[in-house]
Amino acid sequence: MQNAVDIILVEDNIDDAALVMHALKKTNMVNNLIHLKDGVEALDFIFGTGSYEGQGVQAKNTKVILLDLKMPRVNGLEVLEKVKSDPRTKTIPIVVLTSSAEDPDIEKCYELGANSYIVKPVEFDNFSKAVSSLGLYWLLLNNHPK
Amino acid sequence: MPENIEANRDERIDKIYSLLIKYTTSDFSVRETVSDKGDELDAIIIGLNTLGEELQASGKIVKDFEKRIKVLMETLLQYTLMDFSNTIEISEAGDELDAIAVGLNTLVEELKSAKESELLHVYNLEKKAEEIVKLNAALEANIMQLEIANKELEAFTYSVSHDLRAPLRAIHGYTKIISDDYENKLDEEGKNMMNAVMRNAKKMGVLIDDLLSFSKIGKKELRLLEVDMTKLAEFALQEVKNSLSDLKAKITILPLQKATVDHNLMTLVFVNLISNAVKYSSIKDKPEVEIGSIEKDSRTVYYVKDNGVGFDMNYYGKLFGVFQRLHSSEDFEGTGVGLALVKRIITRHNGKIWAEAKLKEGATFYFTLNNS
Repeated sequence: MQNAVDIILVEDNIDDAALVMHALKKTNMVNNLIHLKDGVEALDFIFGTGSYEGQGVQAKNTKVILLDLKMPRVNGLEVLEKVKSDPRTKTIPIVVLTSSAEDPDIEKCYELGANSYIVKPVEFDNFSKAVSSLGLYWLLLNNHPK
Repeated sequence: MPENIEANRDERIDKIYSLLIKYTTSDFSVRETVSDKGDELDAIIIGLNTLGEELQASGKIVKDFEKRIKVLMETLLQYTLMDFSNTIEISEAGDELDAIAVGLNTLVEELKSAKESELLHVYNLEKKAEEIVKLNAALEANIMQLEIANKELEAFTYSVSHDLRAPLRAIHGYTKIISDDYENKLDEEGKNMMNAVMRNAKKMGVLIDDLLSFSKIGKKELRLLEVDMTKLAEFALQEVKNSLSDLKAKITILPLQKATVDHNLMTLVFVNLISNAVKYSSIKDKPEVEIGSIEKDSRTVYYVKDNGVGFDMNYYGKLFGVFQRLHSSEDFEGTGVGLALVKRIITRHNGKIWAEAKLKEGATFYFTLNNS
């Protein structure tokens, strides 16, 4: 396997994505990150379908999926459900990133098997702290199933 | 002659017999002629004729009576079937039957008008029922519209919390990156401006959060429990202390009357009132805040009192309005949501809130809880 992907970032907002990557860069965790711009791209990449046809399930060794909820076409909840209900991918940790604690979908996320739920703070310092600490946690501290 | 007379006499007696027979069969219509002899037979005949006439007359009266009673009975029967269309004819006799008939006629007239007004009443009732049905339909339509409006409001709230924050994050994030990564290319003024951009983005984030929590309070269901208000105020004070870097005010919590309240919301009330008191007294040399309760008109009045800058009572009308402020944010930070939030919570507890203040001398906020 060439270049195993550690982090899959699924985020339609390019600014949020850029900020997440900037924050991760500071802790040197951005090398093996792939940014996918919506749920369709994410599912294609994870399951090796569509434009990733023939490459098989890519995400087997992924250490964490950072998943935005509100996205065009296929939203975060649908991605979450597909990944967590497939035996090939259900052990991949998923951290849901959302804009607001007011999200009516928080409970649903946990029901569907989300491992964590992070509200993106407006303040960049906090945002940066949240992103890098969750990167540290899932990449370095968490023991993944072999 | 005697024989002739005898024969004549027998004949007359026969006539008397046949007359008597007729009478015994209740035929009183016949009379016998009286001879010119003036004897006892004539006397009998005259007596019988008179009797016949009288019996005939009274028989007619009886028949009349029977007929009238029959009419009465038939009409009464109609009345019992609620048919009041016939009245009873009054005879010229002016007797008891007529009295009964007059009485019945009067009764029926009254029944008729009563029935008419009852019908009118029923008609009115039906009309009212129709109106109620119409009003109900209108009300249901209103409720549906309200539900739709509520759903829209929820969607709006979600959109506000979600979509308005995303660009703010970008503004704050990129500004921060610029001021960190290009630090040596910015002069002092440039750095200050970058800080101003970030400060404002952050402030708008707080505004959005405050607005959201304000709109949430109106919808949230109250969980009422009997609460030790002294402990609740101490808990709130601790929260205020946690959010402040330094607190120089002397804060006293006197024993408070127990109350049945929603613990979380009432904590918000005290957190807001205490942090306001601390904030607006912070520029005093010896800031003091007192929290207590008093009994007034058999009702408990809670209060939070400070010796801070107070406010001008002329602007009292704006005190509890959303986004209304009586101080500039340069002097005192704030979004103008706190007291609006407090008022909403107190109102939801069926209570009242009011305040008294004097510029530069302090302010006291009072509130009651009807279910305390």
